[in-house]
Amino acid sequence: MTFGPLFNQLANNPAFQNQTLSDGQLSCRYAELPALLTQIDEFFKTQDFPLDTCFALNFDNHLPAALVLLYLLAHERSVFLAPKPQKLDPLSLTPNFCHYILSLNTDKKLDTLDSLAGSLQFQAHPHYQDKRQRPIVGGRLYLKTSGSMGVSKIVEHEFSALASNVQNCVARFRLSPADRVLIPVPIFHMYGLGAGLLPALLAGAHIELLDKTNILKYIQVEKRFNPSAAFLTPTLCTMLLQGKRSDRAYRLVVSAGDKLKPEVFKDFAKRFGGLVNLYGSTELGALMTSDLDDEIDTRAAYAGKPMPGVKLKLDSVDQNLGNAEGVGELNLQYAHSFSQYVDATGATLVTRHPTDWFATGDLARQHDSGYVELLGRSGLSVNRRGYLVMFSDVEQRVESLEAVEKAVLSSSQEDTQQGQRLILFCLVPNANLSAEDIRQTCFEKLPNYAVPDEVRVFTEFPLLPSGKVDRRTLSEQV
Amino acid sequence: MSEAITEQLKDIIADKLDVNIQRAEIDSDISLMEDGLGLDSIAIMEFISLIEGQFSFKFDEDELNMDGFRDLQTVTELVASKVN
Repeated sequence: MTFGPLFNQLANNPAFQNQTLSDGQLSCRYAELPALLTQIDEFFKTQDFPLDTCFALNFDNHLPAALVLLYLLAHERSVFLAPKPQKLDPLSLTPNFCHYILSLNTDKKLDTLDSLAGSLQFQAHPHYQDKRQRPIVGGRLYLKTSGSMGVSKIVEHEFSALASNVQNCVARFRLSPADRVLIPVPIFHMYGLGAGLLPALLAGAHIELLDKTNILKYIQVEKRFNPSAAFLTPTLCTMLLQGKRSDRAYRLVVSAGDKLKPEVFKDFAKRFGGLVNLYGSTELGALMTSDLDDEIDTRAAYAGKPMPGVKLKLDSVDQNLGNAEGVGELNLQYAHSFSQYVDATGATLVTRHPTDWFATGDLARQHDSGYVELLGRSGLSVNRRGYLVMFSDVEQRVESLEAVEKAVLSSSQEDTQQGQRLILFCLVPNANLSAEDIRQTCFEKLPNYAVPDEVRVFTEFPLLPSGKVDRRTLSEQV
Repeated sequence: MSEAITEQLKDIIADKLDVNIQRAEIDSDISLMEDGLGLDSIAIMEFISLIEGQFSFKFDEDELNMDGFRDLQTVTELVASKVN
């Protein structure tokens, strides 16, 4: 499966001709896509880039970026994707194996897509060094992992694998030409691209991209575009829940990243409709999500059911622990996953075979219904007095306190009578709850062996560039 | 009238919003968003609710948009239209 023929089918499908792709400033109809991609092709032809050249993109989350990306996918041109850095030189974040960095000339405002090719510009990487294994046949997508649990890695996907993953999402989300899909998340990550933009496009939906999303922009675009579906993050869901005054019904809202707190999930679903959690990774793409027909409690509690072709294996943890029945470390096998990890020069770090099991690092339990319940990171659990304490379990219960926006549990090497010492970091933005109060509540909400030995209250947490909490920096304070 | 509103809005941003912005930094034509004062969604929502509390009215959802909240000038006009 390759993108070139898929895009041609789209443009030639009479039912899709008048469907639109837009970013609020610029827009095009599906019928215009072939001419736009030809225009971009003319720009590329003037440069005579070798076929195995890898390009990095440095664009806003706008239509020009989507079109250049569609061009690269259709022409099997390798691409490294990352959101445009706000204050840093994009070169400092671009791997050396990217020969050129493509961007839009911002000297002149791009008023119409007719001049798109004329506005494209490229810059050669001053420290270009490409050690990727040759021959490279077919296009490759390179993405950086978020690094929430350690060092960020560069992941390589073959376009054909990405295309299969995309088709899974079309089916599972039941995307259709009747949908109006709002994408306020970056199309430069696996989520925005592989679960949002490309599935919506292959389904023939109307698509609207939103850059630098904030609550006011979102409300304004929502009113104008009238979306039936949106791809959000837990932060965006929380923002809408707090910032929007009126309710409206979405057919589908996908939330990916950290899992939404079940109570936030239910509040959101009551006000805005068909919310589902999506569990996925940069390495394997979209892996599990629930079905829209499922009860709200089921959708709120579980990561979902595996996507077609995703196999699951739970490596059991110590079953002698009192409460660990059925709990295991989640391993996944997926034929359409990434092909390798590479370093900044493109040299192979770890090769991957389709039958390899991928250790997600998450603890999970699979129920008879086939639903998978995520219990937290497997590195983030300890044995205390013979019981398994899953950090996420403690964190969730403490987060059910209204004043606590986020809780992060950490263990230290130091032993207490219970086992490893547990320290709980709480984000209490209004500082209206003391550490002692929180610890007292823990005694009511948790079994004694799971009560943290110490609670520390913060009004701000250190964050990773992805917006996730930087657990490492927090834990280093222990 | 509108000057008084602008001054009150500056007070809200400098003294009540938890955003580390000094009063002297706030020009009435500086953008409130990422290309100016850099208020994020949480700060914007807080700003909106502080305005509503101080001037005793509620914005309609239709009024919550980037045109109305572009800079202090536009917010001042919006507030003036609500309190009159």
